[in-house]
Amino acid sequence: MALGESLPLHLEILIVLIKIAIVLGVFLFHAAYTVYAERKILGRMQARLGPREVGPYGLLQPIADLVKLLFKEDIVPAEAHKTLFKIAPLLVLTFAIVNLSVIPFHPSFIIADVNLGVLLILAFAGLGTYGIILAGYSSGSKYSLLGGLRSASQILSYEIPLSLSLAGVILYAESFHLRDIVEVQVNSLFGINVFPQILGFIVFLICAFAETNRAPFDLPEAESELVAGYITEYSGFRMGLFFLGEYISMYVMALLISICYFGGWAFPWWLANALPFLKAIPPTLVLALKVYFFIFLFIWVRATFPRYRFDQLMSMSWKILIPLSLINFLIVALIKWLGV
Amino acid sequence: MLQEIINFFAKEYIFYLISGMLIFLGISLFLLRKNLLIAILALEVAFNGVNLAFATASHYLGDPKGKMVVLVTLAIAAGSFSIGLILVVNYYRLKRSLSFDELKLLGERDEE
Amino acid sequence: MIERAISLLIISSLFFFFLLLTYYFRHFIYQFLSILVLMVLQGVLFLYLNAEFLAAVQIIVYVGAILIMFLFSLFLFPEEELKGIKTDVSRISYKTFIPIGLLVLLLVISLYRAVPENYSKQEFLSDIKVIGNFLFNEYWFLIYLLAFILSLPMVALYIFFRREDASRNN
Repeated sequence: MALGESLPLHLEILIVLIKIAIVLGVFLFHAAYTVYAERKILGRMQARLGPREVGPYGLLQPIADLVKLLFKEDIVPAEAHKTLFKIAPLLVLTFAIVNLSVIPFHPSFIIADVNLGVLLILAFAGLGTYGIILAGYSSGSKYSLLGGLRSASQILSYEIPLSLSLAGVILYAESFHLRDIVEVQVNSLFGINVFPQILGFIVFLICAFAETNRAPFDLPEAESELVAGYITEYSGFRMGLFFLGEYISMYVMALLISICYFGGWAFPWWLANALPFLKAIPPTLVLALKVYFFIFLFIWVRATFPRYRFDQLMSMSWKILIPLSLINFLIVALIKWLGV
Repeated sequence: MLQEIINFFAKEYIFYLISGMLIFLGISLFLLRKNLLIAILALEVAFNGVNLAFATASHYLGDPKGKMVVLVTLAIAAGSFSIGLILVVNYYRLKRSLSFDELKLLGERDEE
Repeated sequence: MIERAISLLIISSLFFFFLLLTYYFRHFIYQFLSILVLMVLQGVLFLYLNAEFLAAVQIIVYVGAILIMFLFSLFLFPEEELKGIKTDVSRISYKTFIPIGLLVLLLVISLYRAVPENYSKQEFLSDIKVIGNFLFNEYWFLIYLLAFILSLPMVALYIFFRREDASRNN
């Protein structure tokens, strides 16, 4: 507790449960409507209209999709390892959702106030890989296995530059806690972390696309080469769980980018000094606007860039991104040493 | 009675018990399943049991050296694990078998 | 105190359950998965020993990288090698376990005796500055040694797959 006094145990548990309910509700709603936004924006970028039949402007389309997914037949292949087949989508979804517990949405609103925020997010990213690789294996189909293996090797090799670029942020803030990272960077020289660490930001952005299996790195579900990768054999609501996990991990990555590199819920000190009325905007709204911009960026990139080849993907991670993030780390160390 | 149980689980005994269980699991898997892949996995499990014992002793004796030993052991285990995996994959390419019993040649070619 | 006892009770019973499952399964992938759960639970146990950094390393490096690499190489083997692994007790008598059991018993007893009545709990090692100072001032030699040891797998890879490339070029 903030004041050093502790509530009774049952009250504490009740408060945590309410917090979880709020966060889960907000993010499930957002995930559903991100699908709608993606279809609408993609449609506009490809000079067509997108969904517009269900409800005004097609606004009820996500609900119609949900109903369709729920009523579809749930097929388990005869060759499949049945238990693993049923567990795998739950693993993906769970380890995507659990990430939200260590992210502060407001200086005082955080579900689990632990010291190891960033490390926990990296750990859950590592565990979520098992969901994908087991989905590929348990389907009992060669295409699924290949898709799962591709996805796992992609996520493994992009985790290294991701964590190395985060190491620069952690070194600058001298703390693993995301709240401390925001507080330190608001009072730093430039006010946001992007400017001394532009290399780290670029590396992190590319790795965020690869970690969430989004275009241009959507090799695992390459429709034209691998049918649909590890989700080939899934149907109905289990496939919906995979998509839900993907969209929620997109939100986690957007939150991490805006917290670690763009000052989170606060404005940089020079902007706040020049325009004092900005302090009247609620902190959560500022964070949400930054997150919406990055979600739009995710969709924009999907509409713009063609897909990479697998060897290009691997050599990009090991030959370009890892050296760049190490250089970024050295620059941050130099800045800390000079005491700027 | 209840107080004794709570004391047992709140103190360090359960950690030593679990580390002993892990070491036992590693050794028995190594001996019972005569498979090369399981052998290297079993060695890793035994390593982890030893790690847990080190970390427990380090915590309850108030000496941080044990945790540093665990860090070193993890790194060495990673290296030895990957070398073992290379050896097993190469062996399987040669013999098309993963059994311990086929493992009897020392450098010379198989005459059959 | 009682929360710690209850949660440790739950974790240790889970440990025991998955340990039994490891003996029960005949398919290697399932055995591997139950061992994986044991390793994750061990990472959770490190949290109860105030070793947050060790727990993170256990999950990120060990479970998230090394064991995934192992699972990868399992998929390289044909399915027939992985399923139906039997317990082979033909050449093992119960006498084999006597020295092992004695060794483990001795270890546990000596650790019991080594614990003083009033132990001092350690400060949090999760603080990055404490860890950095500690590693850099007292254990720098160990870190250099580790860097050297970790380069060994690379050398081994080069040695084992060199001959193949040479023959392919010819």
